[in-house]
Order: sequence, then structure tokens, then C-alpha cells
Amino acid sequence: MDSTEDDISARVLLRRVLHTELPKSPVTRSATNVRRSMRLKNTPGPESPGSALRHRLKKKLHESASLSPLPSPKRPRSALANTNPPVTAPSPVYDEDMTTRGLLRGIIQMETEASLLMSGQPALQESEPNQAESSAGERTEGLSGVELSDLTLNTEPLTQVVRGLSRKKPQRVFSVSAFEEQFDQLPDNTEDISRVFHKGDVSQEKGDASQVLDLSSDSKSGLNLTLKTPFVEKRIERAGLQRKVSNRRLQSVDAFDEAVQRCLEQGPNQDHSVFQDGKTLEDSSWQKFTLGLSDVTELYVQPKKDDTMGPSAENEREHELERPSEIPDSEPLIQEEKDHELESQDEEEVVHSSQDDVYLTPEDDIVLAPTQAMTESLPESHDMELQDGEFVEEVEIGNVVEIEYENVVETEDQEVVEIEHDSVEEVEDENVEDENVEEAEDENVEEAEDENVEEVEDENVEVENENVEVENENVEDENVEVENENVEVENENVEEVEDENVEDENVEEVDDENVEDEKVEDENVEVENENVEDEKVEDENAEEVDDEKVEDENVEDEEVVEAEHNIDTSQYLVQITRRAHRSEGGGAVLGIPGTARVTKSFGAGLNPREKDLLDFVDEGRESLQDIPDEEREPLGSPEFPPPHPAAELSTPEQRSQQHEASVAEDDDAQEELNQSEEEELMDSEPPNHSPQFPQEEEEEEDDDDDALSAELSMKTPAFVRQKRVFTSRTTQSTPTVLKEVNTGPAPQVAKRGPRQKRQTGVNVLPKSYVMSVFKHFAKTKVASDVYPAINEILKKYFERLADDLEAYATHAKRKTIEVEDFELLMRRQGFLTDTTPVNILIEKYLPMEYRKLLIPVATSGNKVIPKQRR
Amino acid sequence: MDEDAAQKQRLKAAVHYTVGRLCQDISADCEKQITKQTIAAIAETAFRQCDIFAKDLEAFARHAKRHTVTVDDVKLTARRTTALYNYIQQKSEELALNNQELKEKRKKNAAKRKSKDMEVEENELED
Repeated sequence: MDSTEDDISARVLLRRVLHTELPKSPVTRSATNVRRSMRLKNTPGPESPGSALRHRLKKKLHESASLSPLPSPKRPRSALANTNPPVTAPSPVYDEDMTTRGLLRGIIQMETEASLLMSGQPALQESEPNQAESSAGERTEGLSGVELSDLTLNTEPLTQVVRGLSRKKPQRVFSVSAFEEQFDQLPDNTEDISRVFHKGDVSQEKGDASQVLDLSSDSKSGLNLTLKTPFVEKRIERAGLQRKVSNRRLQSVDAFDEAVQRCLEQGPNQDHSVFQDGKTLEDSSWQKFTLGLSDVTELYVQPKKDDTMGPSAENEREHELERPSEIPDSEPLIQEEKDHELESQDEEEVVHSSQDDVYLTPEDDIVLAPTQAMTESLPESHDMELQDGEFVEEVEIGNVVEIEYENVVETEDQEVVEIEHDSVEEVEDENVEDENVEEAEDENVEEAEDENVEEVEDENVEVENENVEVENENVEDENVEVENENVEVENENVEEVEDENVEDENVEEVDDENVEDEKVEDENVEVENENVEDEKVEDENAEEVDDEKVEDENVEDEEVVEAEHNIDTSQYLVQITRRAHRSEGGGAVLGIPGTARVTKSFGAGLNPREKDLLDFVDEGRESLQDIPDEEREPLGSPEFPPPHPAAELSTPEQRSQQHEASVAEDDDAQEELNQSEEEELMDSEPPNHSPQFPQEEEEEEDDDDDALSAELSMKTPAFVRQKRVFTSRTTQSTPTVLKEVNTGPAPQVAKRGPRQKRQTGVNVLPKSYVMSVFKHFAKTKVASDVYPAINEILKKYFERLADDLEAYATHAKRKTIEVEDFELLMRRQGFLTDTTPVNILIEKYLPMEYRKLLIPVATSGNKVIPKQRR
Repeated sequence: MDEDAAQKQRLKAAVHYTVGRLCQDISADCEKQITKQTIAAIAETAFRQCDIFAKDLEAFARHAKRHTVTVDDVKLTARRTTALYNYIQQKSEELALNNQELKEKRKKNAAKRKSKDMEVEENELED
């Protein structure tokens, strides 16, 4: 072993090499050549370790440059560390490949020999035997003068290049210079080894400038570095992954909690007192909140904290009042708060306070967003609405609604912002409702909302209504948007429809206002416009209802929400009815909410049909009324039911039960539709799914299912829908149906009665699915009114199909249709020929699961764990 | 292969001839003219349909795990065309009757023969 060399680490050697050697052009020797040369020079005797190192490095660099960046850095390393790197490594391979592995190995070996390390001598000597095979040999020795020069040339630029290229973690580019730097820093060889090791690892990529840097930095700090990647790198990496969470959330949570608590505390006391206060303070309070979103939230926060129950309530009230007028934001906030509150608490009378709290709680930026919109729009209406004693209720509801709404709004935020919350309360209520529905929040909240809405309407019939409506619509719209843009549009449509239909009370005025507001704002402009139009016409109540409906629709549209929605809507409806009674526009309200809900669902399902939505809205209202709230007056137009199923279908799965319940209410008429849709869905299943048919039947019984599935199908992609339907179907068995039936109130059942005659095969397949498939294969555009024709064709086709299969089975003197019957059929149809066996078709068209079913494979049904390949 | 092609041509020609004759009769009945192209089209269609029928019949027979094409297979082929199906059904029934009758006759004959033989034997014996 070399006396001097031993002590010196590879780094040192490298450095020496670099310094001593003159820069030369890279040697374009092949690895083998190098090897040979190295081998020839087995013993580094003639060369100093440094030179040997240099050679190695150069070689590596050269190689890496020529071959790939990775190998080269490794080589030098390996050369450095290369005491016996080749020993273990399949050196020839490494030589050529310059894999990290080889380098690492070299390093490791280096380590083991610590003392020997880089010095080429000991390594070289040892490696002699290995050299024959390993690249290490080459590395260790191969360095000739020429090579060394190459190294120097390469290393320097490399390092710079490496530095320039920052990489992810532990990758380190081997750079001699860096190496040397580190080396200097490292007192120990061991450390160097570790470093080298790292470097070796890193060397894989030349471009890891960062690594080089790291090395340098590490060397300082991490002499004791292990093979682990430097901490810095990790951090860096993580940084990217880190999410910059907005602080808003935090605030909101806290604020919300505060608000909630406050509401709880204030609770029942505040309803009226606060309400009145709110009135008076409306302007003042609101004025404060005309600030931007952020400001609003802040404002909200402050009042909460500062104010006691009363003042907070007042603030809330004010918020509420002002909402429609001044602070569009507040509403959304409120709504959001409400939503939150709702979630947290069951509607509380303190809603007012809660609302305020809600507002106050800067729950989220989202909350703010709506508020801004609110503020921007017209805060007026809201104030007006709040005036009524009912307002208290409304407030509560509104709060709840708002909270919900806000939540929803949050999601929609942007939308909300745009939407001026004329009828903050309304919106809130509606939103809340929607949210409730969506979020399956407290129903109570909805009620509260409804109440609020109603009240508001009553109070500020015009202005407020408008505002509220706008807000509501906005809210709704927003909600919708958040979830489904289409839905929103629909909702709006629904709203509009509702509004139009509702027109009971000064809806028109309100609607107009709302409409205007909405238009201005949101992305949902479309939706808003619709709503606006409708709203104007309709009464505040109508608006509210519409909003609710829209919300409902939105909710429904949203599949996710749907599940919740169903329940909520139903509940909501109940609430609505209650409110309706309370408020003047009870009838209208009832109608609206019902329809609203329904329409919403429709909206979801029937995007393109605004008009239908309108009808639906009306119908929806009616249906809603029919629904558990028998109290409701049947507003609607009979048309409503049909659309509903569509909406329902959209989310068959989620809302399966809920929806069914709600749907049941709504769709008597829709049942058929739903059924048909379901049937279609079911029918759509390939024969393989024959077992599902029974399920279908069950489902067919439930309009809801149909509606749900239909809606669902319409919304989700065909195949997804299919899956969903299937899953829902499969999951939904009689029990679910029964549940739904049970849950559905009598009126629902009654409603179903007349429509119940389920027409099997009314719709062989869901329309959306059929149309999508059809359009896919059609080269040109396809109008949607071709669906009935396609439906007939499909019906006949399937009938004939079943007939043939039966004939084939009978021909074979069997009573069951088997796969071979199908094969015969396919042959007759021309899919199968003498050249294409069935399996080919299976493999070509069916998904893996089916394939495994049909084609017995060794692994099908078994768990086969493949051998680990090393 | 040529043989097959030639065979095919001959078959086609036969079909064409038969179709032509049929069309002549029909045109005489309808007092309408039938063009040659029409006849050729009909002949070609009939020829190809025969091919399809044959394949289907074979598939049906195999489906029923038989090696012989029977009336049932034919009926299965024609089930869609009502008129043809009914016609075939009638024919098959008639055939079935005929077969039965034939069988009965054979049985009678067989019985008669037996009795005759018996008589002959008796006679012989007597004699």
C-alpha cells in the first residue's frame, strides 16, 4: 500500500490530478481501450496515485461525456474510490455502462479500504486482478497522461455545468473541483468516502449542479454525511409539494367557531331583538362592510369579537339587511357562515347572530368572495327583507342558508362575488338550502332560510326580493357553477322558470333586479340572466323559492350534492312549506321551493333545455309541493315531473335513496321517464349483465331510481354512468327501494300511483348514453330529437335479439340461453367469421374484467404473484 | 380451384336459368315485362342467399350438436320471414304425415308379408 497514497483520499488525489494535469482534449478512447490501458498499467506504480486518479477521472469524464453523463462522473469516482470496485461489479458491464451502481460500488469499496481510498496505488494494486474484468480496473489505472488531461478539461466545465443544472436530491454530479473542495473540507477520508459515495450516487447525473453544490455545502456541514440525501434537498423538494394554504381557512374556522358559539349563546334570545336592531343598524353596519372581501371578513370578525350577543346579532342583522343592499359579500359570507353554522348547529334562532357571526367569521376567502359580490351588487334588498319580524326567522334561516350558501359560495366564490346579493337572505336561504342539500346540512337551516326568504320577501317585497333573489340566484348560480356549470345554467333556468311561474308576488320586480344583478356578475351570467329574468317577474317569494329550487337544482345537479340534496330538498321543501304558510306567499313559496328543487334537478339533467327548465320549474314546484309537503300548493305545471326524472337520473347513485325520496315526490310523471331511463340503463347493459335485469326491475319501481339514474347518466359520461348505474343498481336492491318508498310520504306514493304503470322499455337506454354513443359513431352532428327514433330502433333490436336467442336455445333443446347461443348469433350477424374467433372479439372490445370472465385463463380467479425479477 | 370456379359458374348458370323461367311465368301472369338485368340480379341474389343459408344451416346443426341438417334447422333459418316460415311449416307437416303414412304402410306390408310367409309356410307344411 502506498504510504503516502493511503492517507490521501480520492479527493485529494483528484485534486492533485486536476491541478497537475494540463487540460487536454477529451480522449475518445473506448472503455475497452481504457481498460486495456489500465490493465496494462495494472500497477499504478509508474504513476502516482494522483495521476492514476486523474486518469480515472478523466476517463470517466470522457466516457461520461461520450457515453452518457452518468457514467462519466461515476467513473472518476470509482476510480477514486476504486480500490476494489471492480471486484464485485460486473465490471465489463460497468465499464461500458458506467452505471451508478458501478460507481457506487467503487465508492463503497473505497470506503471499506478507507485508507486506500482513492489513492490509486492500493486500489490499483488490488484492482489489478479485477481490472481484467471490471471497469474499475480501467478507472484505477487507465489514467494515462492523456486521460488525465481530459479529466481536467472535463471536470472543470462539468462542475460548472453541474452547478448550473440543479437537480433533485441526492443526485450529485461528480465534479472534481467540487470534489476537491469538499475534500479539503473533509478532514477524514471516511467522510470523503461518504461524500464520494454520495457523489457517486449523484454522479449519475451530470446535471446535478445542485448536488455539486450540495456536496460542497455538505462537505462543510455534512462531513458526517451519510448516504442520505442532504436535508436541504429534501426541503427543497418538499417545498414544491407544499401547498400554500391560504390562511383564510384557518381564520374562518376560528371565526366560525366563534360565531357558532356566539350564536349558540345568543340563541333564542336574539331572534327578534337582534332583528330589530339589525334593522336600525342596517345601514351603519352594512356600511362597514362595504369593504373588499378581505375587509369584510375582517369586519365580520371584529364585530363578532367585540360585540356581544346583541351587537353581534345586530351586526348579523345588519349584515343581513345590508347584504342585499350593500354588501353582497356579506351574504355569501353569511351564507357561508350559515352553512358552517348549519353544519355545526342545527338551525338556531340565533341564526341572526350566527349569521352575523358567520359574516364576521372570516371563514374563508371564499366567504369573502361572495360577500364582495354582494357588496358590489345591491345590498339594498337585503336590508329590506330583514326588517320583518320574520326576518328573524329568515335571518336564522338565512344565516343557516347563508352559511350553507357561503359554503357553497365558497366553492363558487367567484360566482358569488359576481352575483349581487340583493336578496342576501334569500340567497342565503336558498344557498343554504342548496348547500344543505348539497352538503346535507341541517335541514333546519333550510327551513330557516326558507323562512327568512319568505320573510324577507314579505318585508321587502320588491327591493329585497330582488336583491335576495339576485343573491339567491347568484348564490344558486354560484353553487351551480361550482359544481356544474351546466347545472347552474339549468338552475337559473329553473329559477327563472320558477320565478316566472311563481310570479305570485312582486317577484317580478325582485327578479328583475336580481336578474340584473346577476347578469352583471357572475360567470353564471347566463344563469343569472335567466334567473334575473325570471326573478323579476316573480315574487320575492318566488325568487326565494326559485332560488331554493335553483339551489336545489344545483344541488341535484351536483351529483355529490345530490345524495345530500335529496334529503335536504325534501326537508327543505317541508320547511319551505312551513314558511310558505307563514309568509304571504306561502302558496307561491311552496310551489317554488318544490319546483325549485325539482327544477334544479332538472336543470342538472337538462342543460340544453332552458325552456324545459322553466316548465320544470313550474312542475318542480308542483312536484315539490306534492312531495312531503302536501301543504304546498300545486303551482306547477304538470310538465314539471317529466324533467325531474331527468335530473334525478343524473345522479342515480348518490341520491339513490334521497333522490328517490325526493324524486318520488316530484316525479309521478317522471317515474315513467325514470323508469324508462333506468330500463334503458339496464337494458344498455350487455347481455352479460342479464342478472342485473332483475335489479332493474326493482329499480324500475322506483321512479326515483330512474330519475336518479337518468340524471346521473346525463351528467356523467356514458361509460361512467353505466358503471354507476350498475353499481347503484346492484347496490340498490329492494331494500333501498323500500326505504325510499317508506321514507317517501304518502303523497309521494299517491303521486306515483297514477304514473306508476311502469312501461317497461319506455326508454331502452338512457338518453344521454345513447346520444353520446350515437354521436361518437356519427361523423356529423346529431340533433337530440333523434332520440325517440333511436329508442324505437333499440327497442326492436333488443326484442329481436332476445327472440333469436330464445330460438337458438330452443333449437338446442335447452331452456337457458347460453354463451354458445350468443356465439351463434354473432356468427349470423357477421361479427364472427371463420377467421375471427370469439376470443379475439372479446379481447378487442371488452374490458379486462369481462375478458377474464369469458376467457378462462390460468390466472383468472386466482391470485398469481409473479416472481420477483431481479 | 378452377374446378370449383367452374362448378360455381355452372351452378350460377343453372340458377340463372331457373330464375329466368320463373320470371317468365310471373311476367306472363302479371302481364309485365321483366328485364334481363332484373333476372340477373335476382339470380345473383338467390345464389348468394343459398350460400348464406348453407352456412347458417350448418351452424344450426352444429349448435344442436348434430351432424345432419334437419327440418328444424331449416325452420330456424326461415323463422323471420312469416310467409316462408308458414309455408315451410306446412310442408314439413305434410312431409311428416307422408312419412308416417309410409311407415304405416311399411308396417302393414311387413305384417302382410309375415302373414303370407306364415301362410306359405303353413301351406308348405300342409303340403
